[in-house]
Amino acid sequence: MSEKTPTSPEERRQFITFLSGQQEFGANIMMIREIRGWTETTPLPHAPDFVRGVINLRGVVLPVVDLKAMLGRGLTEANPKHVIIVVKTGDRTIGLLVDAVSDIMTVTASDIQPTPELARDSNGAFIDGIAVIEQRMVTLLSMEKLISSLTGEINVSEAA
Amino acid sequence: MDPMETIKQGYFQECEELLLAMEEGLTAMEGGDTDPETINAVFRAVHSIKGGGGAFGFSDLVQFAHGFETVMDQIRSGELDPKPEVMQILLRAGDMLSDHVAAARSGTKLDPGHDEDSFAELKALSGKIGDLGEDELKESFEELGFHQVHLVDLDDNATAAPAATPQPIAAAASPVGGKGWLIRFVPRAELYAKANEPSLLFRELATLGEVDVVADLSKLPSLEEIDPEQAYISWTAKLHTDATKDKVEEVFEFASDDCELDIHPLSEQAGVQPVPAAAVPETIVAQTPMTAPQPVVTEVPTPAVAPATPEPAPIAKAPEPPVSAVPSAPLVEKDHPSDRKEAHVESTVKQTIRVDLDKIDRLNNLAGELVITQAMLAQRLLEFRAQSPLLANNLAEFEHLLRELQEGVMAIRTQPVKSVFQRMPRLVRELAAQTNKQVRLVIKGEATEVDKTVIERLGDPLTHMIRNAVDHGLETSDDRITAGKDPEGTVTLSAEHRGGRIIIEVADDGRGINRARVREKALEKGLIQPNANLSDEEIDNLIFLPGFSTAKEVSNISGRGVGMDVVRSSVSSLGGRIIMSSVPGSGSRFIMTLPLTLAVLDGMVVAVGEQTFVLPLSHIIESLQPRSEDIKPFGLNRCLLKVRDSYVPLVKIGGLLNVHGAGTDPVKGVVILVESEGSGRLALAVDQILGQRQVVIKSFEGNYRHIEGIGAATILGDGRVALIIDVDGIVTRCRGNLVENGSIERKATGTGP
Amino acid sequence: MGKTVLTVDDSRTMRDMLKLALTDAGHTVLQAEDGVHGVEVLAQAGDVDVIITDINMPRMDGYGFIDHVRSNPKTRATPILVLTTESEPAKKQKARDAGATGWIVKPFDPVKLVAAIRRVSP
Repeated sequence: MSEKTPTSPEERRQFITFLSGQQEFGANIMMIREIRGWTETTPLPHAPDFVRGVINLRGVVLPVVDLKAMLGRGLTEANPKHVIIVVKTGDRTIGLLVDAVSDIMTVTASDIQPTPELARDSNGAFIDGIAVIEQRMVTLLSMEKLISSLTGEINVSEAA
Repeated sequence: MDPMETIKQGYFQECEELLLAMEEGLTAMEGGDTDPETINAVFRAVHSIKGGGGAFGFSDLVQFAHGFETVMDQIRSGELDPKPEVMQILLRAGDMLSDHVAAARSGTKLDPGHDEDSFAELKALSGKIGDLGEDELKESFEELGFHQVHLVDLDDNATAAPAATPQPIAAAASPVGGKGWLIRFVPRAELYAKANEPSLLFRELATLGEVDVVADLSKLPSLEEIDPEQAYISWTAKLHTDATKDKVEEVFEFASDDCELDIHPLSEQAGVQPVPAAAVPETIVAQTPMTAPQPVVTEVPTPAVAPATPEPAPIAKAPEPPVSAVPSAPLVEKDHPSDRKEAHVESTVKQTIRVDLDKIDRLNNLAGELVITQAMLAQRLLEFRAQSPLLANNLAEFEHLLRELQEGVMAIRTQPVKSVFQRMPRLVRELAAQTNKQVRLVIKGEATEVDKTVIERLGDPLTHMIRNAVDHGLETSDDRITAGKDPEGTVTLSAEHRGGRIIIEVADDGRGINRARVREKALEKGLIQPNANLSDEEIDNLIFLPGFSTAKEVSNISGRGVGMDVVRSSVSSLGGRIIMSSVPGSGSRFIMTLPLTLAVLDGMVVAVGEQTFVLPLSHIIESLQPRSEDIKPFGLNRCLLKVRDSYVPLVKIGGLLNVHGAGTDPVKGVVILVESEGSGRLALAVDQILGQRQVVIKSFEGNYRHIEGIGAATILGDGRVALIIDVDGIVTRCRGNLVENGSIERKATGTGP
Repeated sequence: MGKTVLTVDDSRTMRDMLKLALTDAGHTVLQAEDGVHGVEVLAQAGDVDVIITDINMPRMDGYGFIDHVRSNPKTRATPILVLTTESEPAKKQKARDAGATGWIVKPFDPVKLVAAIRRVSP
């Protein structure tokens, strides 16, 4: 199971879209384990601010990442209406704090445009492309890259 | 899974055990153990590895194991003396055999020359092993006149057995004109004593074609003269078949030693006349047109000939006819019930089952979850306890049972460290050869048990420490002689339980640490300040600092940029600690202390600001209420705490781990004195002690990354995550900083730590 | 026409393989890990139709086991097949002298194994 964005025009993939700081993002639905409400986290020392801490997900200690903060847009003021998207790639599982889940959409390769040159800052490393469907612009995130950056194993050259 | 694949996996698992048993036996033999059972155990291990290997067609492995086995057999029989030179050959052969197993397991082939030297040694030693071919196997086999069972000749059913497919012995003569074979079969008494049964042979013959069997009863004595253990009847069979003579001989394979057997093509039957039927009135001819494997002789109209009864119990079946004829004569010995008792020998074998580790892990996790749930439940019920003393009792009992359950589950996972210790003799042998040093490895306490996950992760650090001991610790034989030492260096590997932890020690009697050199090196690398005032112990332990390597040149054994810091971090990732001590000229000791399990720990739960942390109880010496006059500022925003007559660095957990809302005045909180083996003591300031409890260790490194100062996490009774403090890490770091500024504790106390 | 077969072998792999081959052929399989264990299993099971035994085993080897089986009136006539390797002719001879009925050469072919059983047991 790879979360590669569709390559052949016929190939269709489903993405969950969600809102974080006014922006709409998409993540391959195959990577999503569950969606749960926000609960207080246990902060981790020496962690960057976007790592909000860890929560107990049925016995698993799950790190929770604030997507908005990770993209450099400030901390999410989390309340129980916020959601944590539980994402799993390989044997790693993390929670992604976002404002709300909005939709499930089907994307084909022709819907996807490469990331604009300007957006290729450090955050661009997690962005796989931009899908434009019915006037909506959805930034497609690479969960694999996002998680590996968290565990300190990102290979930036791979992301380019 | 394909059942054969499952068996194959089982074979490799068994090989691991067998290789261990072999290594253990060889090591014992090397140490002078001459117990036949020790030698036998090695022989059996090699034999079983070979046996299974043959089944899966690992021909290289089988060939090598065969040579090895031959030598072991010669030692077993006293033909060869297991003197030291011989033991060296055997140990090397053991190493080769494990290489063969490893190659077979990974589906690769060893380099053609890999086992050549070792095999040549075995061959020279034995004098009975042929070249890496099969000829000698076959020949010795033929000497006895047995017919080789062909392994791959049976159409589609043959399992792969390339190593053992000798050619048919006799040129397979085809029956002339497809007529078949005339078979004369005269059993001797031994045939029956070995539970062979002519009727079954004829039945088997009938699977090859149509059979006419004629029994010759002419030798049958009168009734009173009959000895039931004797054989009196012979048979002549005409087999109409296309089958080769080999096939026919194969039917009689088991009987061939205990009978006269003539097989001639039917066309030659003039030469070998069947028994003149007319002369023997008793002769009964059985017509057997069927080909199904159904007893041929049951077709015989009367029971007067041989065994018609299929029951297996009676002895000496063939002479039975007279018995049947005179049923009153109880010639067949009856079973005595008492024999059963005799047969029962007290068993001392421990029954074991193999269980998928996943299943145990699941059980383990479940037990862990139960402990957490119990803790939550207990907390919820706290307020009702006063109202119902019984409830408190029940809860206590519940907790007790749970703990037992958990311990039981965890005990399933414990194993002796032997499995990893036993890999070391080979390593030492190889290192000794590479470094040209004489090394003796002494292993102690290998029966010490520890969690399997700990064992699995022990291999790398141990390997590295042993390499280090042989490569850097021990001197060459010449140097040792010059120093007045035994030319043979000793490396001691030992394990023992102490205080709920396992202590593993690697000691050598080598030159010890060159402290001046270590210090110089550490300075060079900027690891210490030039004015640092370090104790010998502190200098010794500098070798664990990242980026430190004492070897002047990177040797190809210990080197490659992997230093003792890697050992330290792997030990520390196991929740363990490592220290070393050294006496110049007489050796070094590396001491690892590891938890017995990675699953739970007894912890002290403390509050710091808004957070709850767990401190491993094993590191806690005491907790105390500090008085302000005992706290002395030291340097830039550092404090020392006077504990009785010594000063210990005081560290606020809240500050160290950036905890929101943590108390700033240690006097208003509690101080917990902790100790890290090797790195010394530290006073940790927290706000409050909440209690002690056993917690289930949950690693989050798989989902996140290592956090300095934090060992792992756990889930508390309220369902929230609490972090477990890595005392070793914190002590090492805090005291490491102090080392940079010159060691303070000794200044304050006047004595070294 | 399934038979009850007792296999005695200290190698787990060999036991597993025997069990697979015999079970596939419709036989009921009892297993023991060495001679002593084999004697126990026999005592508990009462009768078996065929015994297959290895030679090299701890505690009680194949010879001892065959001896035991042959000296017990109840099992005296039970066919015994010995597992040997082709390199051990002397052992085979010794096993025969001890009273083995026949032998199976390791590594064995399941078809041969089943045929060997057919040749020794009704």
